[in-house]
This record gives sequence, C-alpha cells and structure tokens, in this order.
Amino acid sequence: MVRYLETFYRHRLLVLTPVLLAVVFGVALVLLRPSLYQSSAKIWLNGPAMESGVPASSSQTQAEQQAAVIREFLSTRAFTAEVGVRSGLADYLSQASPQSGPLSGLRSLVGASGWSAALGASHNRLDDAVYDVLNRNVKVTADGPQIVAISFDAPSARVAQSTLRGLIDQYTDEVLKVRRAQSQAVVDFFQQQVTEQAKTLAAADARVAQYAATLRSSKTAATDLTLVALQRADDLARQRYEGLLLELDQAKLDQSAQTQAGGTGIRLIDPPNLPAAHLGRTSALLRTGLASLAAGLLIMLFSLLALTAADTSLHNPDDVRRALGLRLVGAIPRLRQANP
Amino acid sequence: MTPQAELQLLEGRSAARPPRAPAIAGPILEACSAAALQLGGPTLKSLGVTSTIRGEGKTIVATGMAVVQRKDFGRKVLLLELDVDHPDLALQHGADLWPGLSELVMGEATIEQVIHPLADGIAVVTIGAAPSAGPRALIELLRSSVLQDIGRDYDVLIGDLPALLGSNVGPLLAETFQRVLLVVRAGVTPLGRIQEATASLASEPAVLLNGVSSPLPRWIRQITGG
Repeated sequence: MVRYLETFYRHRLLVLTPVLLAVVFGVALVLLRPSLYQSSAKIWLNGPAMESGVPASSSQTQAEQQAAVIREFLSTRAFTAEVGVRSGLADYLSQASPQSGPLSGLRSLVGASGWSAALGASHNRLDDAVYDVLNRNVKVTADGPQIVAISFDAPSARVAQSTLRGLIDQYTDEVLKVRRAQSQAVVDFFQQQVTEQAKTLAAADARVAQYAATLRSSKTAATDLTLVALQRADDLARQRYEGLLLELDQAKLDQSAQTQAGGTGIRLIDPPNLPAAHLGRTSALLRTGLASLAAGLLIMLFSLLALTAADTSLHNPDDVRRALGLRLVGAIPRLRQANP
Repeated sequence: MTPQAELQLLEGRSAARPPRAPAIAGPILEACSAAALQLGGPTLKSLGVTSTIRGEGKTIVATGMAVVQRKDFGRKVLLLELDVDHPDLALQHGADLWPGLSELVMGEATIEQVIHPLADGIAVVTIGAAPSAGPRALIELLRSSVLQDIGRDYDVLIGDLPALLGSNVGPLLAETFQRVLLVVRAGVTPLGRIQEATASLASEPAVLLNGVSSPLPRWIRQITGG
C-alpha cells in the first residue's frame, strides 16, 4: 500500500492527468453539444398490435413487447428513411448548414447526440445521417402495462415534434400493413375453401337429383336407403359450406375493421408536443462528470499499478536488505543540490 | 587529441585552479561517518568506492570517506582516482591533474611526484596526463606492486573506482581493496542492474544508499510509520 502511495506522490502529475483529461473531456461533451428540445408522446395499446421478433417472456407486458418492436423498427434503415422523408427530418438535415469553425471538429468528436455530424449531410449519406440521428435521439420506454412512451431530442422544437409524429405515423402504418397482410391471407384462405366447398355441394346436389329421378314414386323414395344416404351427404356438404361462408364473412369483417380508426390496436393518448424550452444541462453535466471521473480514476489506478510494477529501483534502506540481501552501511538523504 | 595537447590542456586547467579542501555537505559526511564505523573505522586499510552505473555519487562518497577518515580518526588518507572514463575527482577539488598514475606506471614520474596534496592529511593521485592511456595504466597497476608502494606512507587508501557495468577493469580493481563500498542512487538504478553489477564482484560489497527521500507527506509517514 505504501509503495502505491509513494508511486502516486512521486508521479502526481502523470497519474492525475488522465483524471483531469477525462473530466474535461466529459464536461466538453455536454457543453459543446447543441441545445436540444425534447418532444414526447404516449401511445396506448388495446390489443396485440404486433409480434416482436424477440421471443416474449411471460413476464413482459404488452407495452414492453411493443417498445421492443419499435426499437427493432428503428434499427432498420428502410424504416428510418421513411420516417425521415415523411417527417421532414431528411430535408432539415440536408438544408441545415454544416457546422464550421475551430470547435466543429471537437463538437463532431464529442457530439454524443449525433446532430453535429448529421447537420448539412450530403445527399448520398442522408439516409445514414437520419438513421444515426434517430437511433441516438429516440427513447422508447414502457410506461405501464399498456402505455409506451416515446421521446425525441432535436435542435429545433418543431423538428422534434414533427419527427416524433412522423415516427409514430410510420410505426402505425407498418402495424397496419402487417395486419392487413395477415387478414388478407385469412380471407384468401377461406375464399378458397368456400369455392371448393361450393363445388362439393353442387356435386352432392346433382347426385341427389339424379338418383331421385330414377325412382318411380315418392313413396319408394322415402324408404330408399341410397337416397337417404345421398341426402345426408348433401346436407353435410351444405352445413360445411355455410360454416365456411360464416368464417369468410368474419374474416372480411376483421379485414374491414383494420381500415377503421383504432383498428391497429394503437391509440395515441398524448400526441407529440411542441417543447417550449430546451433540455437542461445540469443533470447531464453531473452524470457525464461522474462517469468521466470514474473512467479517469480507473485509468489512474491502472497507471499506478503499472508504474509501481515497472519501478524496480531501490528507494529506502528496507529495499536494500529485502531485494539485495547486502549489508547496508548508511543512507544519504536527498539534497537540494545534486551530488556530482 | 594528441598526448602533447592533452598535457597542455591539463597544465592549463591545473594552473587555473588552486587546490581547495573538499567541501562536502553535512548529511553526506554524517552518512559517511556512520558507514566508516561499520567498515572498520580506524582499522580500515583500503576502501574501493564503486557503483553500478555512473552518476550514482561514488566520487563524492569517496571524498566524504576520505574526509571522515581524516577528521574522525586523524588518519593520513590517499585518494586514488581510478575512474579512467570520468576522471573528475581531482578536477572537482582543483588538485593537480598531472603527473598521475599513467606517468608513474610508464616510469615518467616518481611516487612523490604523482601525489598531490588536497587538504591537510589528504592527498590525491590522479589518473594522469593521458586519459586515453588510462586503461593500460590500470592494467599495469594491477600487475605491479605500485599500489602497495604508493600507499606506504598513508594510513588508508580510498579508491574512486569505475562504475562496474561497462568497465572491464572495475571488478578487477575492486579486488585489490580490503573493502568495497557500492554506492546506489535511490529511485534510479534498476534492481536488475545492481544485481548484475554485484555478481561481477569477487566478494559482497557493503551498500551506501544515496539520495533517499520519501515523496509522502509527513502526516502519511506518521500514519504508516515510515
């Protein structure tokens, strides 16, 4: 322990520099970031909107599942590109002037929100810029068993609001698209079943009529076992046909319900708001400062360990006895003037 | 540089500097005094002061040991400058640089001529006029009985030896002294180098640690008992 303390005091500047640099870097990270406005919205789920690709655990609420689905969508470039176009985010990024000046490089380097690098993006990397900005600035959380909260941070209040609205609209469209495809598949299936069953029924009807025509009187018809069997088969085919018709009607009903308002099982409770003031920096400063301090202290700890391990020189009389095993006859204290 | 040129340079430097008594800092003398007692005190016949690498303070310690032998025990001391690579013992104290051991071994000077007074009871023998001829002179010195002859009128011989690493004659010279003192610069010389240096010696040297300091503040030293 004393050895480490000695190393610390011997190389004070060296071991404290990483701590200082880490804190300065962390504070710069927050201070050089552009002021951001946060727009937020809440959606309520009243039914299974969409299955997540990730197997849902039984303890997961519906809101948690849908939050995972939204995050999955955000991880695709097609989805983020659609959001960028419909919300005007892509236009905003392409039209905003790129940041210049001596601090722009540093801003890009430390800009955790991604805005510094995205502003003024060229056309061929616009989709990448939109993807980056959305993935860094959209936060999706389950705010209860059936409520999902979504927020988005942007340098402009209006951009924050319109982007969030675009994101929710795009998500709703995607849900609708999937559900429509699913219900269309169900309708198609029953339609095919009904068509085939109609043919079966028509054939059964024809067989009954054909056989009945061969009988001489209605009295013998009532006791003819073949006719009874044919009529029973015809009745069964009709019942099956009517059942399928009902299923088809139900599927069509479900399909038409998808096009109605609220048919997605998603309801926008709190629409995206227009933020009046930008986000405060105090908590971010505190959080980042503490994280930087911790990182710096970790580096300092490793530096101390490395410096102590690397220093094999003798520092005091005990070292001589322990390391050399030779007889020590004296020790000269360090003098201000170096010995010749 | 030709031997004549070296001679002229040394004559000029010697003439410009009158001999002066060695001024050694108090803490160094105190440490040397304690070390002298452990190395035999007034019974010590000869002491070779060496180090692992140069710059560890062996020259100042050799001078300090000479002063202590004179002051504490009233003995006549002869300091021998044997560090041919960095012969700065006589230079530091303004003693005559020439003639020295090189001339003595080559028969160009007598023993009386090579002994230069440094202070009361302390004299110095330098490496001589031609430092380039120094290694040859040292080998001749080891072969001959010059060291015994030169120290006949003195109570104790103290040699400022070359650093052990990087010198072929350093360990051999150390063997000619009754005791060897290894000066170690605290916080500078790596342990591996010191072990390498001590392994080259025939007998175990005593160690004097130079430049000891604790970087810890006093209050921490009080807590840790350091």
